[in-house]
Amino acid sequence: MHIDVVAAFFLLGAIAQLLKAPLNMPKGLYQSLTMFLLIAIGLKGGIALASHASIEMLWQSITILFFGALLPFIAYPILLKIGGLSRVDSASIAAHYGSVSVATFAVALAVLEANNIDYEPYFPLFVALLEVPAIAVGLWLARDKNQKLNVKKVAHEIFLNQGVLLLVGALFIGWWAGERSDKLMPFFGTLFHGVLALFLLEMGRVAASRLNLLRTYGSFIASFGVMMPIIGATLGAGTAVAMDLTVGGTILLTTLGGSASYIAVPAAMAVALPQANQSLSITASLSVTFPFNVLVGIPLYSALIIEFLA
Amino acid sequence: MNKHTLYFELFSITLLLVFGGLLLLQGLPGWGLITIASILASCSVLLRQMKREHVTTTNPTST
Repeated sequence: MHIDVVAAFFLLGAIAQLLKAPLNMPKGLYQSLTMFLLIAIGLKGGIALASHASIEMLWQSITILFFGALLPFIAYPILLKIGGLSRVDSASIAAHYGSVSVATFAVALAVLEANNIDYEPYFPLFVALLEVPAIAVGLWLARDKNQKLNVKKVAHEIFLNQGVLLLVGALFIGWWAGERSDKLMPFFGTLFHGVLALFLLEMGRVAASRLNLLRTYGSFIASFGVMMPIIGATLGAGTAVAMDLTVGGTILLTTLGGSASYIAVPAAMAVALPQANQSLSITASLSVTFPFNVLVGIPLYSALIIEFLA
Repeated sequence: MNKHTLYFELFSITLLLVFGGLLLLQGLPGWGLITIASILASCSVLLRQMKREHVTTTNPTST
């Protein structure tokens, strides 16, 4: 499987930035594109949820929550013992890698749809579920008995950040409205791939603009940013097989396992762990892991899963 | 940068090269992993060299 056409726009944005070409997207447009993608994914998942809700899905959701909580426990010792990072930084980065990236999920969805591969249509529910447990585990790993945690403020950031709010909100609206949501789909459905291409163009630029920070943080974080997605993706594939998901569902959970958050978790960590180096976490997840997944990971996961499971 | 990070980086690069090579032998897309391994190797060497030069410049007696 080759790099998808939308992923090519990510590459274009990155190359433009590296060549110092004047490619600037207004900040408001970038935020609007993010909102569009979150609503489109949530709405589509909600409509599917209305016709697919079952006990089996409840068990799958519980498994997904455990999977999300497991990943930071793997990332944390690597960062602390091998990387020699501080406890707080290790816990913060581990939370980023336990959580998921909605943009990476959107690219994986685009690849599945372009190749007509079926998947569980209620998967956006799993994306929303995977956002939260890693943050809680990250905070637990970074806990300091002498420091008081403002639970109310942290819970507000975890559950009411833009990513979770729009995704879960649209999921509920889609679930509640069912087929009545169809009239929104010419906008949120048909335009999805085009909007994703525009979004990735800007993401490529932003990711490339942070690459010089690797000079400060060292090459360990680059290696970690590639190895952790491979570990997460392998575990994701194993979990998907254990859950008996379809080939498309397995590709999606593998991709989610390999992805790292750069929207929801940084917002929560900025409030809960202000002493953590936010720039280090975002550089790893946005400038190393996101490009790796979009350009190498997703085509590789798809090819391997289709080869061995289809 | 301690020795643990160097071993981790060497392990990562080797694993990516071996896995990428195996995929190619199976007729699967392995070039991506091999390219990433090459980028990580270059990054590791260059950043270590830059750090060594920085230490030498700021503290000439260290050598």
